[in-house]
Amino acid sequence: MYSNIESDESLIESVRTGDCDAFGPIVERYKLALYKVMYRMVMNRDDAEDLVEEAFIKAYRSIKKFEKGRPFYPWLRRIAVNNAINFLKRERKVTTEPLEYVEKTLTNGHFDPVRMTREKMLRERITAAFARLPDDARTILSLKVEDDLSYDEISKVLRIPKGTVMSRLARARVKLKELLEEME
Amino acid sequence: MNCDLPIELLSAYLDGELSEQENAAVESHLKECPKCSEELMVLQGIDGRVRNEVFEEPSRDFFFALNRRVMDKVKVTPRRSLLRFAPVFAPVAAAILVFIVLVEISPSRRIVGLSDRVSYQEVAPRQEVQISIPEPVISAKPAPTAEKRMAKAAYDESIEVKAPAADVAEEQAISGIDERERAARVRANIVRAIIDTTGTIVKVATGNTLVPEEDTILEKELAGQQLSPPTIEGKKKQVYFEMATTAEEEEEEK
Repeated sequence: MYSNIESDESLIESVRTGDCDAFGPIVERYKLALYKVMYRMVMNRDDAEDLVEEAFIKAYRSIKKFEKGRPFYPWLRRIAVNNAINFLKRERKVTTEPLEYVEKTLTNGHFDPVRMTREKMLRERITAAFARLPDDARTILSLKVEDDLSYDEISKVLRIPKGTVMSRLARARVKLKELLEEME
Repeated sequence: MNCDLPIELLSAYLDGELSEQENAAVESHLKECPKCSEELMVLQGIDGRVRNEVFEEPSRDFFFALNRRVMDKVKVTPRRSLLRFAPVFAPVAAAILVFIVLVEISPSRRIVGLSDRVSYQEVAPRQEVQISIPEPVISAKPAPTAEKRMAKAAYDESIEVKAPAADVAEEQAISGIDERERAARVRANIVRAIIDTTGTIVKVATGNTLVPEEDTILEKELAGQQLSPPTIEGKKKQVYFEMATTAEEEEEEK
């Protein structure tokens, strides 16, 4: 059995030599961080959970391609993000449920606004606005706000020039601000 | 924004991605432009809200079962071994083995087909060979079809054996008829049969084409009938032969 205190390097070396049980602590270690990125990209809990699972399986199956000595999580995250981008291209079904939910709850006569805290309303609103962003805007903002990646790192993950990262991130922020203003 | 500062610069300033020179220029602008300062605050707030509020807790299943699901899937990665073909190979190998054993233990009962004629291909100049073909016992039941009648006639009355090694000259002397004329008089209905070394009729076909047509009725009646084993030069041999009724014989039958 492997403990959670073993280093990524040691666990991955064990996986490489055929001990798949060593992959268990890796899954435990990174599943939530990956989920946060995946969720913001697809804005759906079930899809995000499936994408996390797929990312771990893909990573396991290509573990021999992982370069020794490099940090594991950025490599894993790149696999997950690319997989999610493909998912979005294929499915094109980012849910708008949060927005519909907010609109419905705000206009429903049976709803008691007193019971909904201001914080919760604001939270629903930012979630709905974020869900309405284009796929590429959500993806780049997710990488920035969750993992605080540098432009260089984002450029490597998304395989786009650094200048594009800069402009796309600025546009995403402005668009999100406009969407929030529309919903107020 | 109603000023000249591009939003990309403000956004990059927020992320700490500007060069020292660009950074100093933006800071200088922010001191003089309250709108840009306000915009910067808004963008900072948006990032914080996305980080803290755009989130939905994963399911319990994700927390407690994801690891097991992933491990289950990675553990069943198909092995690149020849053993993976075992489910296919085993029955096929068994069938081949049974087939070989069956053929080996019953050589006289092996499957004989019309294609067995190839074993009688001429490899040497024709020779006169005496072939003994015993008469088959035909069922007393009247044949319901013309083919059966002809087959019966072929067996009962005028069996003409076309041995592959028949001496043409002697045959002409015996019959006194020119071979070409005789062949011309042979009617279309030729019965071909194979008798194995034990004297059992194993295959019967009719027709005068290069590929005889199977005659299931005739074969059903004749196949399996036991004759005395055919001999060639005193040795038991499996024989293939053709029988044909001539026009004269048919007229006689009528």
